[in-house]
Amino acid sequence: MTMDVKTIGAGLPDLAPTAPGGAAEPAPGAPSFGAVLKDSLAQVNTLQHDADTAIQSLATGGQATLHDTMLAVQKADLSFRLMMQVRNKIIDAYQEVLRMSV
Amino acid sequence: MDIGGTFDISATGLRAERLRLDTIASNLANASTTRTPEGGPYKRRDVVFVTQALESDFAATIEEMSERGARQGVKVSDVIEDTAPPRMVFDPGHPDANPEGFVAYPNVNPVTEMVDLMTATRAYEANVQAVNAAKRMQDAALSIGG
Amino acid sequence: MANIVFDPTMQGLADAMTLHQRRHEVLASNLANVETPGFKAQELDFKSALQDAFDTGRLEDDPNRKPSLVEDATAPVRADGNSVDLDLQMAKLATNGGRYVALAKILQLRMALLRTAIEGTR
Repeated sequence: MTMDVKTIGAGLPDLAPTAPGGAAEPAPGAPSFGAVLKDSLAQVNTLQHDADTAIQSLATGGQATLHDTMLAVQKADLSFRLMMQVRNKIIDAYQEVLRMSV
Repeated sequence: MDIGGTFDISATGLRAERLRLDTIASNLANASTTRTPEGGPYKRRDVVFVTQALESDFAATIEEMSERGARQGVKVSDVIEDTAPPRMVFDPGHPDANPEGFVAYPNVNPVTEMVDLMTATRAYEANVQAVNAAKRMQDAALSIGG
Repeated sequence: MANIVFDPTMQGLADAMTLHQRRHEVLASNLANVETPGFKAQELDFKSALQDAFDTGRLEDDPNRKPSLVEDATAPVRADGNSVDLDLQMAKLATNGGRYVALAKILQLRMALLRTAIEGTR
């Protein structure tokens, strides 16, 4: 599985605060929500890559142990699912906001 | 290396004990063979076991401290003939009797062979247990995925 | 975000499993050589390494805390120089395997718990 996870993030709206008055400005020094999300995508990608490496090592008789490989695969799977849930919630919230009458 | 690599160690044990069992069976079957193609009675055979190191490629985070390594199998380096003298039995009427009337019977003691048989069987079964334990461990690791 | 989900104990559990797998190899080697003249029974001493696996979630690099292969000096030696006690080794094999299976089960349950937390019950 070599799908690049970052492409899923392409469907997300731009999360930089643009409301008038800057109501959604992040606290000074703290990363914006968009940055946190981008970072999470990168982590999910890393876990996917780690799982791929472990699987390959296991399949070719390398150094990976069976349980470490299973753990890596599970971590990649769960973090991916978590990210999908977050993504869905964000999109739902965004659409909710769009539906609000001004 | 996954747990399947452990099977290799036990496999060498199974193979070696199997060969030992075959040798004992041959001794017992030929306990009364007074005539062989090489001339003279059957000579008791025995196996010589030596440790055989298997290659170790364990994860770098866990290294063995001993230069010998932990993956040590076994192999039969030799099947030797017992040099003990044959058992002489006085029986002048026997076709294989020597000029003095004695027949040379194989230097096989069935009682000793039976004891060896039991030991070899127990050792064989112990290696089977090791394989079964490894199999259970492998199944448990696979279940981590749910 | 993703790494908040996975605590160090998970890696500690996996490392503990690796140690037990290692010990299985030592015990299997003992059993394979139960009839080899001169072979001395060995044991894997991994108490401190196991402790590290759970305390800090990773195995330390300190050589004193690494698992080490030791000869069992208390084992009686038979006439041919072999010191492997068949019954003792098989008993150790059983307990070692049991612990590995238990660790795997705990890890599996943790994963199941996380999955439920993320996706809700299905």
